[in-house]
Amino acid sequence: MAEKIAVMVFVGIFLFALIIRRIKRLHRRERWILLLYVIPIGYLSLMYATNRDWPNLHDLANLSIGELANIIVGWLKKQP
Amino acid sequence: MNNDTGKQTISVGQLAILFVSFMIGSSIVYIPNPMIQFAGNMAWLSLIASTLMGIILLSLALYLFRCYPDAPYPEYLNQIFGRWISSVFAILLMLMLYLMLSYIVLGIGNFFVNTMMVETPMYVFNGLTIITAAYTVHAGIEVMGRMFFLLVSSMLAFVILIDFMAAPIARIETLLPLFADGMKPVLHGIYFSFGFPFAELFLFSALFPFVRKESRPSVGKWMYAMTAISGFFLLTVVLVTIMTLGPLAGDRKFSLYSVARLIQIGQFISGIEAVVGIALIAGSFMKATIVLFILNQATSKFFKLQDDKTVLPAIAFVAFLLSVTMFQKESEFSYSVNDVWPMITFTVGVGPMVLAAIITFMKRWISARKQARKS
Repeated sequence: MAEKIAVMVFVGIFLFALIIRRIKRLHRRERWILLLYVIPIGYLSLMYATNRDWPNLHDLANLSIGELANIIVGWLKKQP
Repeated sequence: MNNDTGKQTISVGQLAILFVSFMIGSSIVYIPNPMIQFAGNMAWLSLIASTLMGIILLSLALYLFRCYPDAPYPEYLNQIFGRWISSVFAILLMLMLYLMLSYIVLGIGNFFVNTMMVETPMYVFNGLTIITAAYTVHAGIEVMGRMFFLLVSSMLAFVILIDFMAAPIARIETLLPLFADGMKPVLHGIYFSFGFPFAELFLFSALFPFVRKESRPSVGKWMYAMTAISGFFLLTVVLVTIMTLGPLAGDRKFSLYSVARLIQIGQFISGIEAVVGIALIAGSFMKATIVLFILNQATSKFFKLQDDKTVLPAIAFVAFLLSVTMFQKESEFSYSVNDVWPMITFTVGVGPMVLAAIITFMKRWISARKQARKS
């Protein structure tokens, strides 16, 4: 877990260094929009650090469009 | 070069470079193996059909660009469908782009871990890729256009080199028999190869408005030419793979890399797969950067942000976390990319664009008829 947390901190520092100087100049609305990202980042970080298999974005795709894809691919794979 | 509003612009040649890097970038590494698995010896026919379908889709994208020259995709959907429906399309597009970006980043990590650097944890490659891509996007599309010229040139040069060097070990008889299992495998190959990468070209509608106004009249012919060239390169790779690897072609992951490993000329030219691998992954990196750029632009426009770099780090960080959390097994990743992803591009990308083109055409036709009646 410590290794994963270190990886996230390392990547996060390098990425957010891009806007560190801009944060002070951001309007209130822009800061709120940036803060919105805390939700998915927090959820995914927790999932990564604890190595849990919680619902993820690809599950949303697989459960929705994936069903139609399964039908089509199933038909394509069926031998005549 | 910036225009009067300070927005970065690119030449049509730079757009073409970005387009080729986007179309060939990750496809040249990941397409051949699954395509040959699905379509067998007829994978080349599936690819030709997908290229032609891609050209038709491109014509719709260019038509919409002519109708709405200064509004990038998905902004012009606002004018066609109205605010609420276009917002739904925009949200779906952003989710799709998050998936796409994380798949590309994960694919790069997968490649290194499976081929050259098996002991290194995947997060090293995922993290380095996303950080480099984020800094490249931050530099702007102009920098991307200039930088990618060298990377694309080296990538295509290596592909041509491998194709020529593999010629002595290629066997034409492995292309036979034709249609051994009927048409369904060919259709399966089309389903996959159109979904990845040809249907994805709709995303370039987001980049057309960055082309300088004086260069815009020639955007169409460059795009058609680059689509054909992309299709041609992918076709040569698929053909070389089938002809060199034979029955193993569908089993070997990262086909072009596997072909490069077989090349040995005399006693002094061998082991070129490492250099080739780097060139190929540069292609994936370029595609990841372009997708991140488009996602950043779409998000900034959706939230109406004044500074389009505000959310870039957050987007990149989410994509990195998705790439390291999404799949527990490689088979899940293969399923998501091979089976589900084409359907995602059809429904989220191709569908709304086709509908937008039809509605725009109908509106203009009706408007033209009304004007003709008045006069």
